[in-house]
Amino acid sequence: MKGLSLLSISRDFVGVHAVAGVSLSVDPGEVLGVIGPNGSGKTTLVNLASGAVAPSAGKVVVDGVDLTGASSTRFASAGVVRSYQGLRLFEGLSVLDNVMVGVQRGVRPSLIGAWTRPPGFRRRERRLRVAAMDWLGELGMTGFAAHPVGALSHGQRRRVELARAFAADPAYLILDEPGAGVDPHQLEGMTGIIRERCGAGVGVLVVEHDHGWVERVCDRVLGVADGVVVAEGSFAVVAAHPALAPHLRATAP
Amino acid sequence: MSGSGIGTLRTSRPWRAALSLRWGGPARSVGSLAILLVLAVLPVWIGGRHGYGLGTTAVIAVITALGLQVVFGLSGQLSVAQAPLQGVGAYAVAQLMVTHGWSFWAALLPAVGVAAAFGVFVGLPGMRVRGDVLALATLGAGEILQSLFLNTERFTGGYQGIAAVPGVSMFGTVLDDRGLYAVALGLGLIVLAGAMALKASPLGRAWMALRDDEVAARAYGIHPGRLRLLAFAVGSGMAGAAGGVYAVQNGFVSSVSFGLNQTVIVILVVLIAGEAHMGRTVVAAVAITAVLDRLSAYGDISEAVTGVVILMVVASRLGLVSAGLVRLRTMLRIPAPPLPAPGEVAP
Repeated sequence: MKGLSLLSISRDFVGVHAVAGVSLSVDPGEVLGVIGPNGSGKTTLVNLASGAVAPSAGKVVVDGVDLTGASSTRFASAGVVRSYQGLRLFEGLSVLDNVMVGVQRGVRPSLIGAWTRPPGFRRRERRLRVAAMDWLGELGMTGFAAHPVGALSHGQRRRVELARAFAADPAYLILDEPGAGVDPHQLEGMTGIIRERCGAGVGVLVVEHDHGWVERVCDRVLGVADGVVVAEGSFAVVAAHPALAPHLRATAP
Repeated sequence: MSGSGIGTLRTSRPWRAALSLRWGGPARSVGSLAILLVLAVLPVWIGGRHGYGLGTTAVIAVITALGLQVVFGLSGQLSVAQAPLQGVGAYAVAQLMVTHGWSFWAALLPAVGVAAAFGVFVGLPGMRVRGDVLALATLGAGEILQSLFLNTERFTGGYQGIAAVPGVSMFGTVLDDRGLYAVALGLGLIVLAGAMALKASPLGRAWMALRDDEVAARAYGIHPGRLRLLAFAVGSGMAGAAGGVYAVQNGFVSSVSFGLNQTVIVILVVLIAGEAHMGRTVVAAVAITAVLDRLSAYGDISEAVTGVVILMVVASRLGLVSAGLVRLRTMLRIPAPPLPAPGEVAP
């Protein structure tokens, strides 16, 4: 039973229903987009799907395993990796080391290994470094590998964050507004990578305000308003819904 | 999209590219090794009982500070109990050598283990709390250790401490000051290599990720609790090793050597060096040891100097030094350098 599923999920914040009875499912190899006005519960959905917050009601199931109420560490072990609207980079680390934290997702850090550095350990470190550099190359950040992330522009920081997420080799990748603070042609540059990952069997859940981009990248779109799903299907169908249409017109480029 | 950013950085600041070429990679390693070598030879150059004694004292400070770098610099937990944990190692070595007749070599490893175990106890609150609350909790734990030193006479000799700790024997002879310095130096190099290897390992990256952003670190599969305790165990074990050397160097162990004053100096070394900078920690620890040695002739003034240095470190961390310079310039009516005109390249 493959897939990342939220089943009739709700989340209240002190009396406010941020998400009320939403069901959604991301299959391997598909890109599911979520659109909706500000405050409609999109980021709460991302937090629920990645284990960052626990649901007040309903279930989260990843590949047939019930992860309701599990820690985000447990979600990561199950292959669910997310990006953040606010980036959340490791500010004291270099660009390369940020991505290395992503690449080493399945690695159990060992004290003995770090001190004895047996051949297997060194081989793995080399392999991890090559993978991290490959992802930095994919996102055009090779020349910045040794730079501290604090010295980068916002667009560059976004690329580091995405490299970190892709490098973690997720089964399900959740992207929370990857276009925030990034110019449109950079966002366009990510399209190819996301579609390629998708072809490799990764399920992608993406929340994004750039609706033209959502239309081009997503296989299926979910429209949310006031914490409930109001429409589901192709972008054209969802965008025509009366609860979403005024919002879409207001933000159309 | 690729490449454009790289190009602008290189062309607008060619000096920076040149600098990073010159002071990075192999050149930097050679430079660091040279500095390390000079520091290691200093006691030989000063010579005599004083020179080698000072050298051993400096190595003890280096090892203790590297231990705190693991706990604070790498895993981001400020421990205010580093000196008492060093004390645990010192008492363990002294007790095993004096009462049970063990050699230094046999006593060192158990002492490291005991200090690591006590370190886990000190770091337990780190499972639940962070930052200033954790610092206060470790401060409390350190005070409890101090109280144990004074009140568990059977193990620590109470107020009398443990006296007549024998020296280090090697190949049937007791080492003199020079020999002890060599032993301490070897131990210091092992600890330095260990700390640097940790930083460049999956474990070190996981610690630093937790230090910088725990929420994101968890989302990448890093378990905070276990790793935080492990950092306390490793850093405290290092402090314990330093304590072991302290015991055989001084031949006497008492609680006054492991109080809050000593902890503050260790924290100061780490703050001056910068979090997770292992090489700079060596330099800072040696420098502080040398300064405190010079000041010891003037009595209590060393504490005043420590206080002033702390304030200076805090001021530079807060950006007050540069702000103060700006204010001074205004007060003295020195005009600020003119801003470059649009299009003009700043010097």
